[in-house]
Amino acid sequence: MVRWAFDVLGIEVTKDTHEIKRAYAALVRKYHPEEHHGEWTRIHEAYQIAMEYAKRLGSPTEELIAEGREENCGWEDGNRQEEFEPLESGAHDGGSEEEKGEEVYNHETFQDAQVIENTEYDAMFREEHSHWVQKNAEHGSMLHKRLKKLASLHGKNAQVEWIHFFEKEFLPEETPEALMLLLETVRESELPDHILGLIWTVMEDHRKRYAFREEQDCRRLAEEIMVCCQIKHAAVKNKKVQRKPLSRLWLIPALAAVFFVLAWSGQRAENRKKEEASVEAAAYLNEKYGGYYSEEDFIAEKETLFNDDEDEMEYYRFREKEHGPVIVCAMRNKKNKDKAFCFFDSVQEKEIKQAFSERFHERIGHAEGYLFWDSKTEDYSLGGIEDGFFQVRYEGDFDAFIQREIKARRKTSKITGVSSSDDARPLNGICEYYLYDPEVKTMKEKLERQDFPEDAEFQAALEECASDYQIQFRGIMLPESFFEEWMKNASWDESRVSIGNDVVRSLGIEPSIPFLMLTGWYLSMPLKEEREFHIPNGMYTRETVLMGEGIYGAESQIRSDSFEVEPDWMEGSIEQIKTPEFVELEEAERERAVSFRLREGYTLRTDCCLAIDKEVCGIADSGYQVIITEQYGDEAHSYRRDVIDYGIPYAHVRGGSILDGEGYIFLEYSEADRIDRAEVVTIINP
Amino acid sequence: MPSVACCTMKVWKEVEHMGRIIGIDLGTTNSLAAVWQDGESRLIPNSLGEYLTPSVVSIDEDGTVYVGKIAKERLISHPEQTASVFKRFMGTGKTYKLGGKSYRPEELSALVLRKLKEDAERYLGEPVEEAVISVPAYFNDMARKATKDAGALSGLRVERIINEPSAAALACRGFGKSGWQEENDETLLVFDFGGGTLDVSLVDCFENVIEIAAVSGDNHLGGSDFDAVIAEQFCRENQLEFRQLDLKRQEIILASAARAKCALTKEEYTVMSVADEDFWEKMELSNRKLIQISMHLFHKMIVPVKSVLNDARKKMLDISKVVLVGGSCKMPTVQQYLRRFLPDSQMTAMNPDYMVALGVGIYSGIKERNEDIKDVLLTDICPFTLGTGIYNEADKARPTMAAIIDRNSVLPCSKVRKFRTATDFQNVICVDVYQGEEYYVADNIYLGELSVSVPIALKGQEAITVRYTYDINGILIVDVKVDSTGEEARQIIMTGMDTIAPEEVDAYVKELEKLKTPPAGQEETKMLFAWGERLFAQSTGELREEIGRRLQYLHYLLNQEENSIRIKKWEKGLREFFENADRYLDMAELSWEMDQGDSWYQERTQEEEDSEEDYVRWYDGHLTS
Repeated sequence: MVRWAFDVLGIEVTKDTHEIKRAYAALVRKYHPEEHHGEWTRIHEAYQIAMEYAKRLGSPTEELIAEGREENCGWEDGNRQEEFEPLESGAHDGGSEEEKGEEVYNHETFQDAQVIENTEYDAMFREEHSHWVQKNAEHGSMLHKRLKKLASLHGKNAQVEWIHFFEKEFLPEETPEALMLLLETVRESELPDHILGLIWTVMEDHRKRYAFREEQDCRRLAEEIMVCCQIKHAAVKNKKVQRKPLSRLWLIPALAAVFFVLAWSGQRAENRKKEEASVEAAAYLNEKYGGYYSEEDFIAEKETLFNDDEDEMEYYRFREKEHGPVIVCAMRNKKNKDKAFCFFDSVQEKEIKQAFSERFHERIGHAEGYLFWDSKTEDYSLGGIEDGFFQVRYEGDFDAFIQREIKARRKTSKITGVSSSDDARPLNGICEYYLYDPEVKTMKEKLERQDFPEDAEFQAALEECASDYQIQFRGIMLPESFFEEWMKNASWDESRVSIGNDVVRSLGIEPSIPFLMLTGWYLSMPLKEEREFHIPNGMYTRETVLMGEGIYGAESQIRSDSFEVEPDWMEGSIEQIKTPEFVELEEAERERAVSFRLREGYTLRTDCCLAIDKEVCGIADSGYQVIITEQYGDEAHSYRRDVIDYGIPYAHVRGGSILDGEGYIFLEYSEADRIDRAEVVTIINP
Repeated sequence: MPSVACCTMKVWKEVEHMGRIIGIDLGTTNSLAAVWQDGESRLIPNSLGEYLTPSVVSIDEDGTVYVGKIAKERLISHPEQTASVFKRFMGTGKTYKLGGKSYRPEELSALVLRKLKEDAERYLGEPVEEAVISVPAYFNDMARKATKDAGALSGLRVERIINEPSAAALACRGFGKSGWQEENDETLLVFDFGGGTLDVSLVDCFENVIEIAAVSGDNHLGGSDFDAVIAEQFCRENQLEFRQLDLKRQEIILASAARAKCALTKEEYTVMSVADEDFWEKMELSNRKLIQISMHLFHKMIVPVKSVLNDARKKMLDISKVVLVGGSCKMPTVQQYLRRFLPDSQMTAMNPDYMVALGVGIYSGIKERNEDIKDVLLTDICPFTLGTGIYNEADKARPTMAAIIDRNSVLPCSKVRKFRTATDFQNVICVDVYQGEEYYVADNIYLGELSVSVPIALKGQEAITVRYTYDINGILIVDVKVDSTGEEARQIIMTGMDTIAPEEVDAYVKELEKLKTPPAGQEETKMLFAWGERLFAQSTGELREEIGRRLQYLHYLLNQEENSIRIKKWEKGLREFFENADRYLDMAELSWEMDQGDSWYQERTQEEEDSEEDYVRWYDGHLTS
């Protein structure tokens, strides 16, 4: 690019700014922007590039400029070919001649117009400046005292005083320092509510004025004061609320009693229902699997189905123990006369899914794979996953899976301009579907070749399922056209396709979880590459990086709120090392130990979740121990850690747990900027 | 009537220049016009023979509009009908109620421009259709558009707006007058301190190229702020509350303060005096005292200078000369303050009132493609960052600013930047255009927006390329291209009168044309009357009576409709008398006795002696009745 620039200017590549300027000036004579806009733009760009080159040193600039040039080329002019002759040795005209004729004005001569220093002024300014500083300081402390005194006033008197203060004393002094003092006063003192309101109003007024006058410092301070007032006001309000009951002491017991009774009775009713359901659940299970369940074995939870606006369905889930997996679910339609529950258990689920997928996949020829769940509901009971996409291997208990995932998710907002509070209404149940075909390597191809099931077949499959299992489910049959619409509007990249919520909404269909659960309709897709896998427990990432041989890592989402991961900087940052001396081990242990640590010269900018491939790193499948050693310069401190099974519900890497599963060890590795401050992970083989 | 709303990027190529182009310095306190003629830039005198036309407009109930010196007098005699210092409010939507109707600053500026246009046409003897108007470099986009609108409303085609310090730099290089100093490469720091605004620019000059390298300023700092400070001090010392005085009195005090400030240019010490029916107060003022009371203004003044020096350092430019431009630079306090701050550079203050206008005159010569000046190139820079709002993870409700054209980019320029979708399933990207430096777009100035639809995808998958082009006429064009679909969209960002249709613009212009101006020939007379009336209001006792008498005699002479020479002579004498009276009112030292250089008494012919008798007779006659 630099070469191009100098070509345009018609001179050799040089660092002499004088020469560059000469060349540019001469070219401008020929191609003035008034007449030759296009050419001049080019010349000017060349001039800028040349000057930048001349003023700075080295090649990175060149590349930067090259990039910029590439982009600037854009779609406007296309080619960079010169459309004009290069510079000839331009002889430029001399200056115009001296003006003859009468001087129209009395121009001051150059000499007269010179501003010469006057030392008197120097002294004056210096003195006045120090006076001003002093005056300001005095004024500042006076203001401070005044504010303090004002802050201690209460009641109506306070209001009068404050108004007077603002009108007479504060208003003329709109300096950042004065505003800072006011801000401090608001922060530190307990001002009465109406005074806060007064200050807020005054500041609002001022803020507009500062904005108009472009006094950004004052404006920001005014805004801060306003915010502070609001916060304080909220605090005051809360206090007020708490204070009230004190004045009505005698009501409390009565009210409390009433509430208690109501709640208790309500609870009673509910408990009764649960008991009923439990009984039936037990009966169902016993019948199916041979009886050893009784209703006491269950902890029943009443849940609400999302989408159940009219509260038609009663839905219970039964667990054996708190936070244990869901054994069986019961659902019934309240309007249904016979009030019989419809049960489904995990086994049942599997069966249904199996049956369905067999029939379905017979036609499609797909294999099982991944379920991608994107649920933007706030109804956590059935999967409050709000933040977008994740891909997880779904096996076993669907509820447990959901519960696990809930823990690891956090909110995002949806379509531009819409804040998450607008979406309070649950919109559960959109799945991402992946398509699998071993012949097709990219999503794009797949979409192009996609054969969709015909309505009739799909429907038939569903119906067969339904009739076989006598399932009542809420949901809507997905017509082919609907699916097509989905797929058409689906966005895709090489690894997956996702289907938009708004498409669904626009079609007025919202499939429900139970429906999807029951149909188990999912398709699968190939893994992109071995490198990309996801660690479901406790952490989600889009990409994992090879951090060392046999060590994969991803940015731990525990602290960071950022969803974007660009972990290239992590690559290669962890290495397997010989266990260092400061790790306290017995001799025998040392021989069997395998250690990992930050590689010299690398920086880990954030906490990472590591997945260590046991096989590659030479670690036994089980029976090993893990020691974490923290070091800080000269000091080191080691401690042993327990290893937990990966499959346990709610197991996650957060909080320092170390998980074992799928042939990997999962643990969290802290950020570190140097090797003498990095953790050392030592694994001792049995 | 050409309308601003029709401007497109190609205008500058297609329009043929017919008629002369004049350059106009539309200042806060005074306006000037200049033209390139006979190889040099010349100021155009107005109908009173002066170069400075005060930017004051007065409109009375029957729709007669006064512009210039007359209006300035009426500022005191009829303050509710008169507006001044409206340049500060260009583009803000403030309205003034004059003569029963309300006007926006653009419309008032248009009236001033119209006056200048007429004066120019008279001077040049040919029609003037186009003008280049200068604005403070720090004027934001809306104020610039408002200036263009003012031009359109006055009947002038304003294609180009240039920055005042750039114009001053042009004038400083001496194009035309003494030849291009080609051997001198210099980097100038132009300090343009006018009535209402401060602009500081760094200008790189070599050969025929004038390139603005950096710009800073303060849109709310000017000479009138010093007047205000002096007025406040005056009130404080005399136990008055400025804000509680009525409008007229406020204006009187301010005018007096301005005069005192000017007096300090020549003398170290002056007395500011304000007289009225009810009171006659005075205050002593010295340069030192001025420094004392306006210290904060000096601090404000130096901020943009520091900013520009910083930019100079970054661009590795050494300042060879400091040029002071603008009326307020005549103040010795200002000059010395700067001198202290920049002790090593050469500092000049040549013709501070005229520099900008002369520069705009040179520029209009360039635009006219006048042979002797057309090779000169003036490139300006964009004083503000132009960009768009982007999604803010930390606080979704407050998008942040992503710059596309950075501050101090040389104009005309065109820059691109890519953006990606911020959320999943986003189907529209809205490119909203903002001007400003603040982190949150809410604190910047919104100029317009452009939306494109993008295919639905996960966030970050879809990208758009946004190109901002700021052309030589200061029009911002936004081009957006969706990378994946190739769909393009373009939006020309214009504000101000573009929300109004061209026909409505014409209607506005016609409305303004309805306002009558007094016939040109009578301007001198009307001005004297206004002046006299103002003096009458301000003075007391004998002086007041004398003023009244003289005005009445003038009136009498005019009614005679004869002897226009006598009228002219009387007017000349009256002028001097009034000047004396003004000086007296300010300083309360000189006596207004007529032997103090009042030529009316000195030069008399027999004719005049006769007429003097007329005067006495008439006067007596009037008295007795």
